[in-house]
Amino acid sequence: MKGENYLFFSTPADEPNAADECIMIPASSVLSIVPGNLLTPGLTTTTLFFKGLANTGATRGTVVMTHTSGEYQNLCADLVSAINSTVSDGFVNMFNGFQSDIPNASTLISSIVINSEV
Amino acid sequence: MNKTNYLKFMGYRYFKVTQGADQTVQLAKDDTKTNAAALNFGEFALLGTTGADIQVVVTAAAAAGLRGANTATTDFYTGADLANLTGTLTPAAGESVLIPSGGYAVGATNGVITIEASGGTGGDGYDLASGDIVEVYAYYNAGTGSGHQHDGLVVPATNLTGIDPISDITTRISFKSALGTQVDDTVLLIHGSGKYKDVCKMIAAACNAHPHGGRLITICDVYNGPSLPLVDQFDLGVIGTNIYYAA
Repeated sequence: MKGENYLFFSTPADEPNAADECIMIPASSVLSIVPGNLLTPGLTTTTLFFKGLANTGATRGTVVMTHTSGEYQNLCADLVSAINSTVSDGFVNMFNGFQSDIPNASTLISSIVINSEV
Repeated sequence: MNKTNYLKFMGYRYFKVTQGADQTVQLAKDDTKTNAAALNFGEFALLGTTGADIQVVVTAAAAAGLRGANTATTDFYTGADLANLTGTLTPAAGESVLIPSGGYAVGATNGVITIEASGGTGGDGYDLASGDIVEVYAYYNAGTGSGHQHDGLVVPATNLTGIDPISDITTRISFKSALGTQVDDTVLLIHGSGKYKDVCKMIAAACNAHPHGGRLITICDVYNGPSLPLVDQFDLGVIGTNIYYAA
């Protein structure tokens, strides 16, 4: 959709060559951001849920971020800042190796795991 | 760019139940019990420290129960001395007593609290009488030194599906579920009596704040910051936030 931000996540710094190494989703598909790994709460992981790409109304995708312990609230503030950032082309580099449009990503996030369909 | 505010709720769970003459208090769904009203509290599996991350308060309906010898000597809410401090420790009607951590057991995975009898080890317990009110305040993992970060929900305002009253002091806020299925995740806000309409106004204001840019807006975080601009502006008196993910 024109006028929308698109969120890009990548586990390798270069181009992907396997499933779930990268994903790009429209910002409007974000469902929620929850502390922990998927729905198992934890202090060192936060999960961003988004609508499943298959659009069946029965699935969701996830990006699980491993981060500094106890930083859920700070990470959420940075994630929302990036999701709503003003970029001319709408392409928001959420996480790509250690490059990111998320403020403080390099100090907060150590790794991510992408699952396009759960 | 289309931007939306994100709403942040940090859990600080509260539950109030009127008991029968039963020492077990059910706050979450348990396989062997059917207290439907308890479903929104959640389990205690993540509790950091009993006594630090949970508080159990009993308010006597009448002069019928019995306090243990080691329970508090002052009312939990008013701070006034309790009526009977020697001899038979019968609570007076309306007196609220904080139960020491040794006076109850927490069932981590079933949401059940079992209050010890008044004559139990250490005298920390309390014999509940029919009609006594048990209130439980709990927050997850606050005892680790990492702050309260274990129990929260951040959602785009656009995913709000509605707000409905559950009682005079509880309002349910529903969102499209993280599961991506046709169910909802809910936040049960426990607030001052008769504040449903003000909760609705507060959420509407939060959703529409910052019209030129989406922000993260903290709706409630009772443990880390009980006083927040929106809650204060609408004088909601929020004392609890129960977050419930759809299964």
